[in-house]
Amino acid sequence: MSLFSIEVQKTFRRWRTYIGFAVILAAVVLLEVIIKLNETQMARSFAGGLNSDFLVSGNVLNAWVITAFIMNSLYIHVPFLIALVAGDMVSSEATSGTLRFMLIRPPSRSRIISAKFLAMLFYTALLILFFGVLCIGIGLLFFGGGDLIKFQPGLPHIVVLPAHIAASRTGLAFIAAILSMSVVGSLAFLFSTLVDNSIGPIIGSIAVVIVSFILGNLPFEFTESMRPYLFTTYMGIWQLLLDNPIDWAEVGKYALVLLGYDAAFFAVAYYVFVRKDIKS
Amino acid sequence: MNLMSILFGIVLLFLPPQGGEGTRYLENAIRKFDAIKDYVVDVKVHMDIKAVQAPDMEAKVYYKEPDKIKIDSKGLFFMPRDVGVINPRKFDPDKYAIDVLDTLTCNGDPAVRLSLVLKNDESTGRNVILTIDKKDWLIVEIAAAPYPGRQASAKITYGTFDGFQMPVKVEVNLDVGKIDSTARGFGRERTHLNELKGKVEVYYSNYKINSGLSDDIFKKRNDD
Amino acid sequence: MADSILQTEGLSKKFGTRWAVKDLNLDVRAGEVFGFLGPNGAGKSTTIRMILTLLAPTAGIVRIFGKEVRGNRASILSRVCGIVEKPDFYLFLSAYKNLELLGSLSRKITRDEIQESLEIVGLKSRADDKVKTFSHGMKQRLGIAQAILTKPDLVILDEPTSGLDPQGMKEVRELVLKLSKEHGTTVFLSSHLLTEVEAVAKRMAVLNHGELIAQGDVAELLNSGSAYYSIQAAPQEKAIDVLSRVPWVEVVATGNGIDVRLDSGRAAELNRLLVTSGVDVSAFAAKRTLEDYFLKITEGASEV
Repeated sequence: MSLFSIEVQKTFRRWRTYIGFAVILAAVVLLEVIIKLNETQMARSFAGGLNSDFLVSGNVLNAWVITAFIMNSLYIHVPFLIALVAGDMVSSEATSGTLRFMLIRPPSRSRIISAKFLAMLFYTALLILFFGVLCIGIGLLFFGGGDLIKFQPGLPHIVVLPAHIAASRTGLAFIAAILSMSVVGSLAFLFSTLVDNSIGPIIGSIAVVIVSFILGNLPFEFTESMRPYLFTTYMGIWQLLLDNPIDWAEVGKYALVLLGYDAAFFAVAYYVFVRKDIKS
Repeated sequence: MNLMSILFGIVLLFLPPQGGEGTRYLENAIRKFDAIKDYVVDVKVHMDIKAVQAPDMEAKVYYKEPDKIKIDSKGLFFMPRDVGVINPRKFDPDKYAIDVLDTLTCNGDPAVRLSLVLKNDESTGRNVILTIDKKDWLIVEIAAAPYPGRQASAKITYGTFDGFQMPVKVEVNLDVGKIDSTARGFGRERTHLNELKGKVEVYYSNYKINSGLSDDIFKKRNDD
Repeated sequence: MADSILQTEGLSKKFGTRWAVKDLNLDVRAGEVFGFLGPNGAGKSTTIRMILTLLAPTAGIVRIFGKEVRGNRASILSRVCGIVEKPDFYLFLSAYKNLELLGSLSRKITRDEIQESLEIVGLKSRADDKVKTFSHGMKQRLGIAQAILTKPDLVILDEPTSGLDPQGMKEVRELVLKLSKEHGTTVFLSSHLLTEVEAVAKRMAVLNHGELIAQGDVAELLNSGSAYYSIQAAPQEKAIDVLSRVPWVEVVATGNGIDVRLDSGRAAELNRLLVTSGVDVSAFAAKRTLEDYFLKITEGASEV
């Protein structure tokens, strides 16, 4: 049994891991049911800008539009759900004492911390993919397919992506969202190596994300100048993949920055863990 | 011809035309369209607007007098509201104060430009300037300024189908001015929108005119 | 020494300004049960943590199977198992799953091996129960099961009977002896109970305030020099009078009984003397508390 497999088994045999899945299931179902119940009003409101100047036909409020709409909640509850598990990866074992058992076994600390990090990424990926499959699945069931009409900043402001392109773009967007959310996971994971309790890393990482978001969105010169250095600035990478045309240079830049943060957070976690005296 | 007849003729000559000259021109255009009871047409929309990016969109448009419209499309479809479906009937002469702006030549034929200003602000419709081909009594250009700083004009080209002159192409030029937007997504760079300016071309083909469309076709709610 | 399994040389650990372990030289030999004795806070757990690489030594080296642990960690630890401080498990997993996951960290573990380990510690019938339902004693036994699961050459047990009732303590002692005798496993057992070490260990080291104060054969260490005994005799006044006249006996305390210190090996002689002096001796027992032992060895005895 590989270390990764052991870590995945441990992660997915804890009920806490399923809180994230349950919350996402409840949130997506609830949102889509509410939208379905108010479909006409939503469709009018959504196409309101167009309706004054255009005759509009077709399935405006379709699965891809709904999915893009719900994806915005990625910033709200998903970081917390990821931190809930990532912030617990190392610290919970330190608290429970099982870390001692692991560390007196042949696998080196570097292998153990790497396996835990990979398991955290695996959880993050699975959670986001679950989110995506759920959004799209229920969306198709309730609203059917159609072209994705999207309002975006800059030019073009209104983008219509044909259904088949919308599907692949939405898929790409969710993959990018995994990268985006992995940074929250990496941060919580790093905090998890610093302390022997789970609450600190979870609250700490969420606090960093929220403060970073607020700083990045304040319309002041000073905070504007901070934006390029905040990882939250680049967490909207998935939105770039719904733009048309995709600005691949920008996507590449965002991805590199996010990967850089992932690597930096992991490197610090690795350094701390490998040198850590296990006193608990 | 007796004297009375001559005098009556002279009086008539000096009286202003009933409802105004402009109204008469507009009524001629509406009358021309009277023969169209219904039609079905394939429509293709090509957009060339910086602010809107959409693939060419296709739909089947159903029209029935006086103003029933239904659009059937596989995917998302939108076309300019005022000029997508040319229907002179919607310019009800009773609702507008109509003035002749000037006369001109359009494609070698005499034409007249009319200003239509809504008499009542609460009426549906917009103030428009129509150019009417006096030879065939067809609306060949519609210009509108719905809001200050926003302009839109449409040039209409006609073809003949089953003896009826119907639009084959409508070229809409939009200049909606600058939209000052600070819209941005979370975590995305702040961007400002430029002017909403560009062209929309609407192509019409495969007309089926006066085929006796049932009202049932129009009962299903349109997404518009 | 050729058959040394575990050696430490000048092993030291400093936390801040305090030396938790200082200049510790241990020598554990193949196949023996080695007692690592010391009061709470003596530095036993810190030493074990350094041996098992949980703590980095401030100074000194640890050698297991003749190789320095630093640089040979994986190959050495694949032959070593242990419990540090207390047996902690994944409470949300079953006993079986815990052993499977923890054992897999060393090598591929078969179902039979897990069942066998659980059987040895008497937990086979609870294999599928979640550990959160286990008592402390059951967790201790499960800890031993995981320690022996991979059939290691060296088992390190840190206070394995801590918190157990007498029956549980007895079972653990029997398990330790079984490991040593039937499987030839070397057992390094730390304890603060002298009687426990005496019951299972052949050799021992004694640690106090982070420093080694004695190391050697358990019997020799306990019987060398003077020893403490508790005597129940009547009439007590007469017994005290007799004892006070014997030059090689020192009366340490009187109360319900009489505590005396005398040269090891002369207990029978003293008993005889009391009886022949007309004193009824109802009990004559060696005192085996760690405190007594410390009193004894800090008065002169050290490395044997």
